[in-house]
Amino acid sequence: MNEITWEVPVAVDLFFAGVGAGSFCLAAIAARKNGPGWEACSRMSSLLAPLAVVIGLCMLILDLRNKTRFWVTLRVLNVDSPMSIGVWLLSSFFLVSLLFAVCELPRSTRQRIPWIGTLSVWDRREWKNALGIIGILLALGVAVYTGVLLLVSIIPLWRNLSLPILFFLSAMCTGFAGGSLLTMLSTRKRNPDAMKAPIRYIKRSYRVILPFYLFAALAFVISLSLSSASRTEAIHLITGWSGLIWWAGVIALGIIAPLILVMRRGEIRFNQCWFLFGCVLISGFLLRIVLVLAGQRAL
Amino acid sequence: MEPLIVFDSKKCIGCHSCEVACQLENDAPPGVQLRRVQTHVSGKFPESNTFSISTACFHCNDPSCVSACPAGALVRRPDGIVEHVRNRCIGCGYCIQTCPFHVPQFSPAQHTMRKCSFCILRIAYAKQPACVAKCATGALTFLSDGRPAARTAAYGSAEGLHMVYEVEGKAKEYALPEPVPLNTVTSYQLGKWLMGLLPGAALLAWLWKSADDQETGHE
Repeated sequence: MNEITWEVPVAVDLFFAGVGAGSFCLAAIAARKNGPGWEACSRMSSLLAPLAVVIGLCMLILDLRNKTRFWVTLRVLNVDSPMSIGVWLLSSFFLVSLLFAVCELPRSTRQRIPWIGTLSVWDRREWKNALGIIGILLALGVAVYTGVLLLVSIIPLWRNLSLPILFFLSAMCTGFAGGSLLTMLSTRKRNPDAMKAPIRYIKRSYRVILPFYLFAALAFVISLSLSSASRTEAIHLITGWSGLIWWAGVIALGIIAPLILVMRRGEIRFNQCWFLFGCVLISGFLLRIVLVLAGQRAL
Repeated sequence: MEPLIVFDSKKCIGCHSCEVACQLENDAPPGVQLRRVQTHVSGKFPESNTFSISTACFHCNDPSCVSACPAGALVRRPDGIVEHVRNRCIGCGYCIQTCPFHVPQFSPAQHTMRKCSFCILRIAYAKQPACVAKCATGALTFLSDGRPAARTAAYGSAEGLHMVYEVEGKAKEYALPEPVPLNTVTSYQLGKWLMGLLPGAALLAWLWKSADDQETGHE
């Protein structure tokens, strides 16, 4: 029986959960550094994190049709269920990322927030550091949860141990890309050179993350093909429409092209950055779409 | 008291009465079948034979659906029946993705999951489940106390499930469970989390440290 239960909104939720987790990690790392570029990077990435989680949750609520149904999951904790753990991880992560975003706001803007805006706690360094550490741990959980959620199912395409790390690596790539794109948009007129230092760091990070990402993606396909239970699923994934999305969208556009760009010597130019981050974001989205839909034979 | 339904393929004529009775009893919308009759062909022509098999929820002792449900809508009762509490169901479909027998079905009209309830209301009033009551040939029988000892005496080994099948040949040929499968959700779940958490934590630690190195010029 091929019942399609999870459609595009679920893939969108998984994508935005990953973007939120990745951009928070970038924000927490950037918050420890000094310089106008790092400050802007930390601020914009920390704003993106809760926003992405909310967009993802809205997609989930939309998919459940009934707005009140989502809140039922927050009255129950089933430690056996990755979905239940995930809902709690996402909700805690949203709360922490929101507090961190408030810390990152300029004081004049923050003071306009009613009730809590004038509290002195937002300026305390140790409070922000603690939120950063807790948030990174929760972001790790959120990024891995999106993979474990699919891994425990009976669908042969999803029953693959590469999935948690594949989704984690994609989350880091897309989150870094999303945070950087927003920062570039905010600084391009006032101080375009400010982004040089964060981009140098992201280039160095991608040099490590992207080869692991490529390895995890290929290991995923190879291990699917080697298992007799999932061989037909592997053929389905790498051929036809899903094959086109997998090879052209996920592997070529999202991993190989960015890898070639970051492996080159010298600094990445500004216009190349748009291309790099755009490719990574599109590919991260396509990864979720192709896995969720092809797993249920809907693509 | 652990209730049990026994199906004997030698007596089933494939009339679909059980299916219809189940639909009516549970007010299932069109397209949702809580009990299904499937017809199989065994052997090769001219010695081929057709036979039918009536399947529903197996009410596993360690059900994957109960482990997967994030809303507590699936509950395993002390008598072994896996109950679906419809007003708690959020319609996320996770039980459908995790049941090894493809039992839970999604009802688009109600936007919730539906599955065999073992006719708990009928059992409470000392009646047989609807499918058993309407079976024309006695292929489905109901035991109000199907504890392991009773099962072993009458029907051989049937540990772990509350739906037992009397079939010729191997259960696998009929898409029936043999042996009783592991809970797909809880089996090695910690290991599955660690497969992502450990390398993920190592990479994050490196990302954290490499930001410091950049400041001090260790590129």
